[in-house]
Amino acid sequence: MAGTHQTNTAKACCFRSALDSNAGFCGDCGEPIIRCMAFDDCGGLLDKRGRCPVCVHPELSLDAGAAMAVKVGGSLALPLVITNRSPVSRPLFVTGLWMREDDGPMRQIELPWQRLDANASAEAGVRTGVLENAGITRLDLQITVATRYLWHEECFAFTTSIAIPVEQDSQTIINQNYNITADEIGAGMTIYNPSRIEKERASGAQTHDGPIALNLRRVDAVEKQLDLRGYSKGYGVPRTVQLEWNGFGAGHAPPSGPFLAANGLIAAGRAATMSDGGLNDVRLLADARGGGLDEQRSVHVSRRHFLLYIENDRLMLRVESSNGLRLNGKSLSRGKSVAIQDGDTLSPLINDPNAVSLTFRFEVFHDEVARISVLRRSIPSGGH
Amino acid sequence: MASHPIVLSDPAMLAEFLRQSEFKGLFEKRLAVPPDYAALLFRNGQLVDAYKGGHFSVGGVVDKLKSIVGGSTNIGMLIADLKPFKVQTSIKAMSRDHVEIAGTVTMELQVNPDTPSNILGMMHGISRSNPGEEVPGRKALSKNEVLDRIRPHLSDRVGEAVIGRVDAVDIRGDRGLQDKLQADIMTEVERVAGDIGIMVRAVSVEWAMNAVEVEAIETAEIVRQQAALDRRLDIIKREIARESDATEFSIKSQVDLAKLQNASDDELKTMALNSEIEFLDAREKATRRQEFEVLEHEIAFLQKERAATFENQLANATQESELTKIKARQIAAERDIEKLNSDHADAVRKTNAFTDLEIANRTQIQQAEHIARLQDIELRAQQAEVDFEIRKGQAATQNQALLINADAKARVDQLNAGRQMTPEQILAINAGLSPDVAAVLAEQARAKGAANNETMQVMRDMVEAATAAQIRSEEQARNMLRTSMDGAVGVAHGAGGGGGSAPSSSGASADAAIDCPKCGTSNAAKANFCKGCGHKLRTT
Repeated sequence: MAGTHQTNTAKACCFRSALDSNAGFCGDCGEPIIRCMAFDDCGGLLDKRGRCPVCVHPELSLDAGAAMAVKVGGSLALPLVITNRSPVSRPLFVTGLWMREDDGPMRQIELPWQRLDANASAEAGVRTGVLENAGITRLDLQITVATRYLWHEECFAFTTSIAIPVEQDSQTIINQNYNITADEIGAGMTIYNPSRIEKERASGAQTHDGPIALNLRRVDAVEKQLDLRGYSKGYGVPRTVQLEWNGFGAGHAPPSGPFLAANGLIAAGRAATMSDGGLNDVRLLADARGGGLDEQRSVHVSRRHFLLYIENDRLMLRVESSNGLRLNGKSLSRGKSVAIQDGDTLSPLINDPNAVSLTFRFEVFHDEVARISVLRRSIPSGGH
Repeated sequence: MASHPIVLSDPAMLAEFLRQSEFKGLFEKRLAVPPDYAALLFRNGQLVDAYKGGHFSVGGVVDKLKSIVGGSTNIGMLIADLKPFKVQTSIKAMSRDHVEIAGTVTMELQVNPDTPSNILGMMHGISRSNPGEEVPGRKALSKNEVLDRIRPHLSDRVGEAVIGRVDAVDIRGDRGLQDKLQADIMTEVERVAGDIGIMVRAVSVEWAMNAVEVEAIETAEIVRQQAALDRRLDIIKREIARESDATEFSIKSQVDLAKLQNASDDELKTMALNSEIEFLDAREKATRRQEFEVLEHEIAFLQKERAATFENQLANATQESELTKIKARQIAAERDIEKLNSDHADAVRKTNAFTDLEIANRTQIQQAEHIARLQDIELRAQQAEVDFEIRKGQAATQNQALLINADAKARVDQLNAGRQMTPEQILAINAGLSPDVAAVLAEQARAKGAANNETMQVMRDMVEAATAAQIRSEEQARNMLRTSMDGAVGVAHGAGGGGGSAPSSSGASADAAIDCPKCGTSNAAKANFCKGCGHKLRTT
């Protein structure tokens, strides 16, 4: 079995607590319960690095019969088998395969397929270049996979290495006797040559009987380098990020802290919050002059205007309103999903950006966003 | 017959033709070529084959005779060293930032052991003849000649091309650059001499110091010198500061010493004694205060207990005396009735004036009267008992009202007193104890483990728990008092329901729910943490 299992997976008590859809924290150990985006299908909890071990369980192995040694000047073909080991019926999408010899550049291998259903396997053949130097040659294999659910997609990169011995093609025959006499064939010499120096050696290479599972490891640096996860500045937003809601009316925003709803979505719009029997987590209304409610402007905010969620270590925005919205002044239409950056300002009303707006500020510790502050502003009509 | 070994005449040689004379002779010759040599055998000018080591047997009388009959055969042999060998040459090139880079290239070369016959391509027109010797030298190829053949192809094609891409400062220690040079030289030599039997096994370059590095070394040296000077300056500054401090201290010390020296022995003794007495006084004062507070509390407690006992006894005694009096009156009444009956019977017997019928009739009337009186007396006794019960109830109600008033007053007093109390005292009072008990508890807890914050925390938690659970019974308070005498742990035991009488959350049934004090979410009673906000619901 490939070693894709991580030691930092959720505990058994957390799985028990996760059965209660209202639970955000484990009642036994107090740890936050981070559900997979496809929790309804897989029932999985994310590990500390954001991977659902139920949905994302690729296995890479070297097929039976593959040669594992080569002579100097030869090249080696490696028949690889990629398997989706998801125990539930969750498909896995293999989005890329790369190979590198020793310190050379990464070379992408074309894959004619992408989707792997649960417990399905697919082959991929890779061939090394001509191996010039004797000794051990290291081959690095890199694979990127994605798991998808509705419009969500979480991407991951894994790597593994194979060491291939490259043997010197040397001759070791010594002490041969050559009798150069004229006894047998009259004048001249007879040369008895039991084995020629320049004979071709048998090219039998070592093979193995069964498939060899390769140990896959998550490579977070590659995930950032390939822009699969996190932001280009090198940091990422974990699902346990602290969200602070500033400038909202009482009961119009969830309490500050990690947002741990079962579906992982923060819904925002004009309708009341769920605690008041509505359908939103955040209620967006425009203020009137003097502090009251400006009904005339508020009515333009859709009942559910947009969604916020965390995907691929980024805070994502998805537009739900048919009227669209503005992010940093740029309008986005319904169904668009974009990553929210530090300092971005979101205005739900395209024609009246001052009616209500949200500004996002990230507080970054090393490569992780520890806190996101969401500041609501509403400038009454006629104000500045 | 012993074999005659054939080796190269000089270690600097790579390949040599054997002279014809070395094969000629009257007798058969056995020649041995070591296994690390390649031997190329020629007959009549044609290459017969190439061998890696071997024994050869040539010449002799029979061959001579045959050559007379069948014509002569010319045999030639080339031996070549198959072992890798090292050659060095210098390299000079310009870096990207136009700094002259120099270095020594060390190459590991080898005659390709798989195609040793190709070495013939290197052998044209080369002969070594030693003018001083009678025997002409062998035709030979030296290792330096191989280097001379390939050197011109390396300087610009490889050296300039590779080094020109990097800056002078990045050259040293760049393994990638070395690998690139090695690969390029291998490619180049393969192109030039691959088909004439020479192959490159490894290449390394030792870089000479370039101008940028020399400059860096000089700069570093200057920085080091400057740092050393700065350090020296700091040391001198510190020494000066130390000297200044030491002088000031010594002056101050001398002033104090002068004061002490001027004091007499008596004055010194008085000073020592005063400080000792002050110390002892302070210690005894603290001990006495603690003892006094314990005694004060015991006295107050005993007073309360005795007052309660006396009130009970008094109430019981009053009740008993009233019953005794009523019974005494009843007995007196019965006695009077009996006396009247007997007097009346006597009178009747004396007069004999009444007929039996009249007597019987009067007797009945008298008996009825007696019964009515007896019933009346019993009725009154019962009424007295009922009255007593009513009064008793009234008294109990009044007592209870007074107690409630007293509790309320005590609470007000506690709150007033609490303004000057420590948190421990207030907590203890809240647990249902008097201010004095609180003072004793606080003092004892401090005396036994003032520094033990954990114990204090446990005590606080348990007292809080007791308060929350509304433990206010007198028995609980007594238990608390008794156990508190053993220290803070005892307090925890008493207040935390050590007797098992207090209700606690752990005793709740499995299906019960508790609300989170932080967010109000309803949780299972057995939960350690709130499922809504992660708040810790249990103290242990």
